[in-house]
Amino acid sequence: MTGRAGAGGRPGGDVESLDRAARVYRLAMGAYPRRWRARYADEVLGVLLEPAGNAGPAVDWREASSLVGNGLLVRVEELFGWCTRRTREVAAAGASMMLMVVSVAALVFGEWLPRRAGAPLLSIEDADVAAGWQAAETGFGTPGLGTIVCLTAMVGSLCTILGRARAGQGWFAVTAAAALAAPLVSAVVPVNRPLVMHLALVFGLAMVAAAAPVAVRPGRRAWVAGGVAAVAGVALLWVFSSVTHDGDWSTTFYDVYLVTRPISDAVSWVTIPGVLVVAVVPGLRRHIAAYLLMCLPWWLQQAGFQQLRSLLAPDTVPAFIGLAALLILAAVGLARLRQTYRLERINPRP
Amino acid sequence: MAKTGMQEPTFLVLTALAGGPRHGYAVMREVTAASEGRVRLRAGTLYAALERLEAEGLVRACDSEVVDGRRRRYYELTDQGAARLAEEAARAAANAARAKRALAARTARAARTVTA
Repeated sequence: MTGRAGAGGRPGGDVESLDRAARVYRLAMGAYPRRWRARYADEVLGVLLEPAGNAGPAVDWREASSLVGNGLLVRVEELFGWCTRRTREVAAAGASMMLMVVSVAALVFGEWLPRRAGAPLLSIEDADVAAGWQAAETGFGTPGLGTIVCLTAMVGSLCTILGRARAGQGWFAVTAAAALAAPLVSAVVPVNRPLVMHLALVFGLAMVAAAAPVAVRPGRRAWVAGGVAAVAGVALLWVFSSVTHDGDWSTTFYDVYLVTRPISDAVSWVTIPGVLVVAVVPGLRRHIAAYLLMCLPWWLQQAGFQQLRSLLAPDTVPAFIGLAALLILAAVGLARLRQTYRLERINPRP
Repeated sequence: MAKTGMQEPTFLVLTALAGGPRHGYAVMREVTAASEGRVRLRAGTLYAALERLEAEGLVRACDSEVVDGRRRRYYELTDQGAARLAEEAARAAANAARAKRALAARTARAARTVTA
């Protein structure tokens, strides 16, 4: 390590760190379209390296991630610049609805098809084999991870809605990392592979990424209320159908898993990085949080909740308690959002 | 243009440029100072705002120089930008006045309740 330069110039080590910082920032600016880089890249680099002075700059990773996020947004804007904002909103809402319909259809189809075909009910052990699971002998496996993913998302949503944006952002980062870790862990460690929690998780994320800005705009409260009612309703139906289930969980487990796995894998790898990027863009944080909260009854019921229930007790009491807690949470979130709408009506944002 | 309110960072960028032409780094410092450290613009956010404001005709690049081999542009407020900023400032002032009146009325109500 070289010493610090005098007033005359930079020492060799600082030149190295300058080059490194410039390289990192240029790499991050690769997220912008070429046109934008030609116009602004030099300027942005100058701004980012200016505070260093003679001390030599360290890479500011927040700046780098901000560049990536903004760059992707500029690309999206350019991609959809040909259509009006209204058209984009309608398209985003349509895509979200479609995703919801497809996901629910996949779940229903996965349950119905084997029964229609007269497929025999398998024991849980046989179903595990059919679904390619590896049973956990002991310890903490991906079901536990799924639960954590849901809980961290819940905390992140609440933090953001309550105005603790920075804390919320951290929780979302943890959520995304855990969501990413779940399939990876299951691939390399002999523990239970994720059940439908994978799909449920990414389903929520995809809906958030696609529809959040539309759903929570002032005047769209009906969307929010409808969303909450829909996800809570589906979750309740699921719980009640579980209560009257014939006792053999194997069809629920392996069929749903087999049908939905390709969808869940494809969607998850696309949406998780996307949500991470969107989560650091200030203007969208509240929207994401609101929509996450809307998805939570569905989410947690599918992912962590079912795991928790099987871990804690065979009856459904914890299920109802968990669901009730989530609905209360959603109600609190909605009350908070109403307040936000009122404020935005008085002082609208563009 | 729609007469909707603008976000605080945009407002602060326009305010910084109202003081005269500035380059990007100076705008960032000015925004931090004007907001008493509450708003710290990141470079990506600043240039996204500048690009949008340029497209809307509210600011324009007026000069440039080369520092350490890198181009540095100066931006200034256009007449349209100044008008928009004035309009926004008036709106904020009206909001503040409304809030003060409401608070005064609340205080008066509380005082009446105590005396009654």
